[in-house]
Amino acid sequence: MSLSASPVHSLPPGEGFLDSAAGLLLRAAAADLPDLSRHLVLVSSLPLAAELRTALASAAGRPLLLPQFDTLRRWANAAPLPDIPSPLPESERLVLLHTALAARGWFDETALWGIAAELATLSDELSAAAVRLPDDEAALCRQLEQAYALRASAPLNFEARVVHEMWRALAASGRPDAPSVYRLRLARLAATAARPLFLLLDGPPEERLTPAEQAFLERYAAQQPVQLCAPAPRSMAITPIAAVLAAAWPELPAAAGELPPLLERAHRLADTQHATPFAERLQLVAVSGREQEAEAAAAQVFAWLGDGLRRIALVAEDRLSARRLRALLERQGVLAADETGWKLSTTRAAATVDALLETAAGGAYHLDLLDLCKSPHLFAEEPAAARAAAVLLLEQAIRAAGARSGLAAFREALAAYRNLDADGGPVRALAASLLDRLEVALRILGGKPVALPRWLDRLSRALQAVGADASLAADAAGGELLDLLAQRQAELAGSEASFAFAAWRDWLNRELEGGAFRDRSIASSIVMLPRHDVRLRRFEAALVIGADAEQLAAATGGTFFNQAVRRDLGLPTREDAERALRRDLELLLATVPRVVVTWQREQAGEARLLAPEFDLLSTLHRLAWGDDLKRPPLSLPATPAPEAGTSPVLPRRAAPVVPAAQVPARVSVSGLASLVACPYQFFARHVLRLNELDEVSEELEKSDYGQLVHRSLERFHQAHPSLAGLDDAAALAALGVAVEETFAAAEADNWLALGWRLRWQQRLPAYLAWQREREAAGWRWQAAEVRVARSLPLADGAAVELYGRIDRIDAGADGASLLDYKTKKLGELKKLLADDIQLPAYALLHDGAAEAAYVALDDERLDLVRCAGDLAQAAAAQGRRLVAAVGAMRAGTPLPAHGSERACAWCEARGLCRRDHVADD
Amino acid sequence: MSRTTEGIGMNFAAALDPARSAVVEACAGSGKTWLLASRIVRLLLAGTQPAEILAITFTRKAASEIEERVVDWLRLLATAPDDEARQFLRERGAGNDPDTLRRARGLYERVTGAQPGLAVNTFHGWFLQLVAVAPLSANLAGTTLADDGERRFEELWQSFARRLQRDPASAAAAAFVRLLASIGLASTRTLLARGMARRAEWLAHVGDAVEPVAAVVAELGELFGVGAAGGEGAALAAFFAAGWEGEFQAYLGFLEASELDSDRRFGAQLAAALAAEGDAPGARFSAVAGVFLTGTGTLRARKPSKALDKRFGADGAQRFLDLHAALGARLLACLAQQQEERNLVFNRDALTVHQAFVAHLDAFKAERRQIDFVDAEWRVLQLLNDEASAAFVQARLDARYRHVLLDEFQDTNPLQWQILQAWLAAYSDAARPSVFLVGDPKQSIYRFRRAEPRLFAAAADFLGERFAAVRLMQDATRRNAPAIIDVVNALFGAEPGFQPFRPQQSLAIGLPGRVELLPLCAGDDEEAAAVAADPDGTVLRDPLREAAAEVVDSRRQREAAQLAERLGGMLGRTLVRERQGVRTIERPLRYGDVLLLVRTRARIRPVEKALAAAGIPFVAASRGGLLDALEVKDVVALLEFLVTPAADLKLAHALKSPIFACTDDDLLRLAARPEAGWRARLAVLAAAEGGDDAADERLRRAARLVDGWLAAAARLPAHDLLDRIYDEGEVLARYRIAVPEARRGAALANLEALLLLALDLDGGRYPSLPRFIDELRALARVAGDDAPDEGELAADERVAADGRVRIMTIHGAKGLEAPLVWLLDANATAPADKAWDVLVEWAPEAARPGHFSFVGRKEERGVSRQALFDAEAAAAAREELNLLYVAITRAQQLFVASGVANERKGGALTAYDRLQAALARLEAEHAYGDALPEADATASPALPEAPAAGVMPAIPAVGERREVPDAAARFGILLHAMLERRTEDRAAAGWWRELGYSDGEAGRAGVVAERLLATPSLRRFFDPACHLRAWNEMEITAADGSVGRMDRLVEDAEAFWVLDYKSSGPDTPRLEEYREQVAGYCRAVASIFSGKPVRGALIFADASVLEVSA
Ligand code: SF4
Repeated sequence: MSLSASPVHSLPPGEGFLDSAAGLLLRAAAADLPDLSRHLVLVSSLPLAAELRTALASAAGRPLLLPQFDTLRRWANAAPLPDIPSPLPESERLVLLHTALAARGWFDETALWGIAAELATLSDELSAAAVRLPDDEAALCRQLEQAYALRASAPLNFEARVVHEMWRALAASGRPDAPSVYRLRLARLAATAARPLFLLLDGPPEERLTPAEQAFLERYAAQQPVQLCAPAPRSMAITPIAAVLAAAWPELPAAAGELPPLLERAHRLADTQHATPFAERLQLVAVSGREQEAEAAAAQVFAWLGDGLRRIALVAEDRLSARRLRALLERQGVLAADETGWKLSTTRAAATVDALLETAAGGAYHLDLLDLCKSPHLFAEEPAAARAAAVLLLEQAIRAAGARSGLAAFREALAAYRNLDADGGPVRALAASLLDRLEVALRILGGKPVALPRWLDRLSRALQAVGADASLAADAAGGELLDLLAQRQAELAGSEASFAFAAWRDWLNRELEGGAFRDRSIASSIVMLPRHDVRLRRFEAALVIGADAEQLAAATGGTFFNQAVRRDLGLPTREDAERALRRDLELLLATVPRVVVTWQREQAGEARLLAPEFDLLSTLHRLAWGDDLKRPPLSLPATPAPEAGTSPVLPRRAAPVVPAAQVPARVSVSGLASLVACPYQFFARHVLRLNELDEVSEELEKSDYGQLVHRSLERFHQAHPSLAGLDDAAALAALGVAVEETFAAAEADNWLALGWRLRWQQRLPAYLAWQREREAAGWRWQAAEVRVARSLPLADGAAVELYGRIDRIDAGADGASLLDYKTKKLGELKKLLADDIQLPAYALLHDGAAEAAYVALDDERLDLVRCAGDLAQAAAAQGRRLVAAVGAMRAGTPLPAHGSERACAWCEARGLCRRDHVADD
Repeated sequence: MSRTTEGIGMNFAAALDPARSAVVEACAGSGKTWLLASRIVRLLLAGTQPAEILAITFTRKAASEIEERVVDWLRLLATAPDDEARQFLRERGAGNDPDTLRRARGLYERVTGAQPGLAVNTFHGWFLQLVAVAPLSANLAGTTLADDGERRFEELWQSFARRLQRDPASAAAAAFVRLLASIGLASTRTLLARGMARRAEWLAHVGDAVEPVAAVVAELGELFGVGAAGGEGAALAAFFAAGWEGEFQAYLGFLEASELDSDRRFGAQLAAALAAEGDAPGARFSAVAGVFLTGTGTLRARKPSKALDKRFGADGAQRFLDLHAALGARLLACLAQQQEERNLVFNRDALTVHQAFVAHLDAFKAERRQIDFVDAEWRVLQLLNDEASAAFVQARLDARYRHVLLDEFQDTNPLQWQILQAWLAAYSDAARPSVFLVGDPKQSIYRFRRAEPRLFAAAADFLGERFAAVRLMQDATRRNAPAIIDVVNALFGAEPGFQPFRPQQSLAIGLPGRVELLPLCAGDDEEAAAVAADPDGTVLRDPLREAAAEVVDSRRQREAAQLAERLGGMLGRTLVRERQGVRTIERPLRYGDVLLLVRTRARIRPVEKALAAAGIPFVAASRGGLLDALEVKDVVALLEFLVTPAADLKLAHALKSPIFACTDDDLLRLAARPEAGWRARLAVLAAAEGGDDAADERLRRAARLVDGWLAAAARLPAHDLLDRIYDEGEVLARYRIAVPEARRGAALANLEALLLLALDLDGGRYPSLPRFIDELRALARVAGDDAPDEGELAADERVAADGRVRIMTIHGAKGLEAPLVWLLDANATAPADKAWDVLVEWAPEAARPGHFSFVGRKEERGVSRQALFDAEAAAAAREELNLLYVAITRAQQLFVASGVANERKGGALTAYDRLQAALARLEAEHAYGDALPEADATASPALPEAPAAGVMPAIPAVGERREVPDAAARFGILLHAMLERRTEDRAAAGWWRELGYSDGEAGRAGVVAERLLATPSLRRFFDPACHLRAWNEMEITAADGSVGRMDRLVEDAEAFWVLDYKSSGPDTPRLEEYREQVAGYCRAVASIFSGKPVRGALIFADASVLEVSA
């Protein structure tokens, strides 16, 4: 493409580039000096415009009325040209494509937004390259056949058909797309050119200008003076750096055969340039992991700052490492401005919106609801402390009740929850009102399918209902999110296609994924930016983070067609992207005097290659000057030791001494077991009174099962203390009913509870048989769930009370039988008997027990596991041990953390006793 | 790196010849990677484009290794002196004429710059690539890859139950309930999970059957010998067919004639059963069976004897015994048949539920537009089996493969092989690619990933036939010392299950080597003693003074202790050889030279403990343990508290961690406070005026930090919050002090790994701390590969020079080598068969599996599938041998095996037994081979000093946080924009929205703008009729080069006017500043336009004007 009408000034890229450009501009506009207001200066990017402006000001050396600065695209799109139609907004186009696709029923509903977006991208690419598809589908198909070198077949026909029909559907809308409108505008503006134009490009014109833009310049130049200025490409080798880069990255890799081998090129370079232009200019730093990458980068930034450099570019090829870097810098008060931006979807504000939708979608699942309620944006008009207290109360209630989902369940849970806080009243009321408001929001979001603008309206009303609208608007990212949605709502005002909740949410997710959020709250001379935005800007130093071959790579094109077809159709290909990548790096290396490149040599055990561009450069440089430019990473100095006063020490086995006043006066049977298993565990549970909060479990757990079994037996025996009056069938039926009633709620909550019930029901005949045997042996069921307690005097005059609850007591001729149901097998229980505390403790608590035993409920034939040895003696021994231990505790004996591995395995106090970090353990 | 193509016992030229297809069976250590990478270089040299090469290996790690190797070689070729480059080419059988050399030198650039470039892929990676280019009609567009793990299964299991509950009358729900009742909840869950893992085979097996379950049940019915109409009860009915009782009556006659009590009892039982025609057949059958069979289901013993002869007479006795045997057999046959019936019923139910579950899974994924690896495999096969779409896929890829290279082929599964065949079939004959296949069936150890070692032979035959592939064997290794190879040959040559086995040869001539078998560690009597304490229970242990006795396996402790001691003696003393370029040096053994192999991860713990106790640095390739580490739990507890401030235990946990370093006494003080909630208590104690002692300082620090982090927790994403906690909480510095030496490195690495985990999870959509915590909890619940791994130890640790002892599973060690390899737990038996599993049979050459069924308990398997079970057992046994082969061949010089006595192993042969037998064959007892030389010095490896902690240099603060514009500032900006547009006549409807302003804001600003425009005194500035020229937002530079911007510059007949709009009133306190600014502009304008006076004016929102003079 020739730009014969206007001269192209190729300036050497480098630190002086903008000054030369400013000089050119001043010379071109000499006649108008110092009033350049009628001149138009168009630059590739806005930051570059700002830099050129400064360069111009200093080059002039006197006050100037500055020309108008802008980018070509912005200027063209903003120029008032009232009779040129506005383009079909992207959002409307997507709906149009979605509707057209849906009408044809070619694809799954869930695929449509994605395919519509791909088609829109393709359409833009076609439009930008001014490609017109053949008028009929068959012709397109033939063209594809040729380009793919493939005979026509159903898959190929279908691809052609989809593309063609959708392309026609777009054309039929009667509204031009954005590239077309841009083209129209350029044509019109060229025709009405009224001001001298100075155009500064950040690359060769044939790469940086579309055909339409080139045509615009030609026509413009016919009427007004046009100055076009661009950096000389490396192939011109007009600076030493360019010469090296040209040798490392020849412009025409396809013709590599014609090229002298790398080795020769390197030697030739070394002959012409004795010193390398890259000394001190470029360093390649391999690191061993993400954290090291971030630390090396941070150390480099600090070193540069120490050298007095301030304008530093952080090129984030690896976003995650860059984010780590950013955090490390901020720790030292070094802030970086962000020109890259984040996806809106990665902001806290978007997370709030999503939590609301997820809560609606999942029938108010407790985790979603709590996530939503804990968002800082919700119920913003309530005082923060009150809101936090209410949410906390709600969470405690939900956990206590094990309420899994549904507002009704949460309301019940809240009503049932007793908290000990004195001023609970207002908090409780607030919590209830939060639920009310959530209900309103969920109802709004629960409506029938409607059009997108109506959905957006519902969303904003729902956000209002939960008091999130104002606080989102006040939040930087939240504000942009709401703006984006408002903009879509306006664009789509006339849209009528209606969508179900899921399809709408899919749409919204895509919008939030596509929308960018730039945190503008930081102003800094250190800037994080994408590599192509560094082009020609005057940074004093630059870091390229994540330069491995996978990440520092040319962008891949759209999903339609392969490269051959794209080339054939005239669409941009991967080669173009590759050329752009090298151009970016060329300009970066040419302009920025200190560049440090880092890459992770290995990730998750897999080797990572350095990006080929740098690998080639490094190899060439080594061949020419014996230096591969690789340098070891810098490291950050170790953080200083913590202050002495609060500094930790190496942990030893914990053995706290408890003041007598804090030694519990009441100990439960399970507390006694804990004391025996590990005194520190007892300390945590019963002295400090620290326990895990209840968790809401997804499905019935084994312990819940045991509870239900107990309750079903209690229920049955309350009605039938004896089986005497019942025949086998009647007894089984009655017990069966009791079981079903007991399990009903659990089954309704989660059907898998059925599995547990069936398991228990299979044991019922065995249970009844055993019960009959017992009755035959003279035992009578007497009571269930009996609370018992006994005060034991201590040597120092005080007393300790032992208490517990006995599952079942039978009366017999020689006294009571204390029974404890276990949903375990006999064999298992027998193994546990050696360390058993529970049975003797019950005997201690219930005078005159003739036996104490576990009932093993999980065998084909039920049986008892009786407390071994003499029951009364065993009981007395437990009592003595308790008295001795509590007495010792009160007298200052420490409570060591010396549980057995089995005790530790599930111990929640593991974080308190620190046993995993105790060296002598 | 010097080797030649000669003398290795294999025709390399054929293997590397780009024009030929080849199949290479290469033993461990023979340089498969070298071969594969060399062939790639040869292909490139021959002019092949990088994109024409499809190389597939088994893991991403291996793939990246090959790629790195090729690029390194090409770089070497491009840069080396001519001699070296020529030598390189010669070693690979390529020409080294000037032309070839020149081409070789250009390869590096040609390959690194190629589009698309050289890619070494895994099967999975390649399949995903094919999915990405699938035709639109395949309905795969826009799908994302979902992981296939435990977590998703849990979610599916729950939602599957909900779905069934909604439709309890459905066939699936009914079958599900039957399964629950018959095998229970846990086994049902296991069945479904295992079935899901074998989904691809299920799909391949049923093909496009309309009623897949019915079809498979019919197949099984045939196999089981249970007719379609038969179901439960047919066998019994057949048993009780008319006239069944005749012989039983005869048998009864004998019993009744016997004088023995037992016979009489049996007689009575049989008589009753024969008479009980009304009884249920099942009960009646049991009664009859009880007479002939024992409780365990075997025939009661009745033998000929004198007494019997006497009792019934000789003929009678014979007749009686014959009857007993025949009737017993009849009963047993009926029992077996009943078992088959039950198995069919079980399979019908299980398959029905399985099919429903698979459908549920598909719906789940379809809703989310996900596919998983199984789908990818399966969909690719479908695509390639269709001629049109196969051609499309080949055309659609940017790469046109003309050479296919397959690495580690022994790990391929039948489905993958089907895909490869379909891929190869899609080429026209003219364009048929070359195929290069390399692998070692002896190293096939991935049955659990469905690898099928028999495929190697099948594929070799296929390629020989269709691709004229040469077949080559490589049985010489450079890795293992001759002594090791002697043991390998003695061991595997004698294993019938390992045939055909070709003896191997070591090329490491002269390398000393040794194989040692340590005596098995036996248990002792302590365990029994511990249990028997205090029989009468009157003197109980005092828990405050005495810890409960540990139940430990002393055998394993001994084995670990023995290991630590032995290693301690060898490290730094025993000399090993190392190749360094062309030289070989002898040096003392280092930590990094030692590879400890265990069978399963579960065995790693005691080894770790023993090594830690001995102060030997190690790295365990234990995975998935990050969230179990105490330091990580500390931080997570802190986060959990920040998300749920009622979690007192979590707060206390965090307080006791090094982050806050509180003591138990501090906790006691907190526990004694009356306030509800520990957070409130902490606040009260921290606020209390008290002595300045350390405890108060700790609590104050804790309260201050916790308050700050609570506020931050609501807004910051997890990573940012954690970073702040690490920084303000001095986390790393504190753990450095508070973790004992042996665990310190790991603790710091884990803390770092947690931070990076947060970064990864945060990188996703919609970050919030509660979600992060939920995510962590979910991750902590899953076991194994889904759980996050521990942090990798920093490379710059003190021990880096000597490395660390590596502990890993045999699977993990595949592809690695080490001077010393130690196999632990060598006397363990192979894992038993799992109950509740899937049985699949897929013959290597078959297009689809021939059998798919579910299997219950071992004793209920029935007999009809015995051949399949036997085949499985044989394959499992073979894999045991393969594992041992892989283990031994990791060792370059020294291989040691140890184990514990194992009374329960019965007749099973263990690795230990086999090694013992092999040593015996070599006439050695416990050790075979050379004694490795020892160094004189006994000094343990010197550790370099830790780097001294540096000090952070003073760093200037850079950057500042800007205030977010408040309402007044926004109003000002909008007013300016509005005036600019109104005076330029360009105002598209609603333009302010694009700038982020609401209609309300625009309305309010609009009122002011219109007021200004309509004010008569301002008309001269706005009405074009009143002035000559006007500019909005005019930029101007001052003499000092600074750039400013005037809101409006107007030239009328008499003067230039510099105008500045102010959204405030004239009473603003910043008036002076504004004046000065406008005055500055006026001076600049004056110097530009010298002819006319320049006047300035501030225009306020109330339309008042304040003139400013320059
Ligand atoms: S973890 Fe073990 S030692 Fe620590 S408190 Fe719990 S039981 Fe005791």
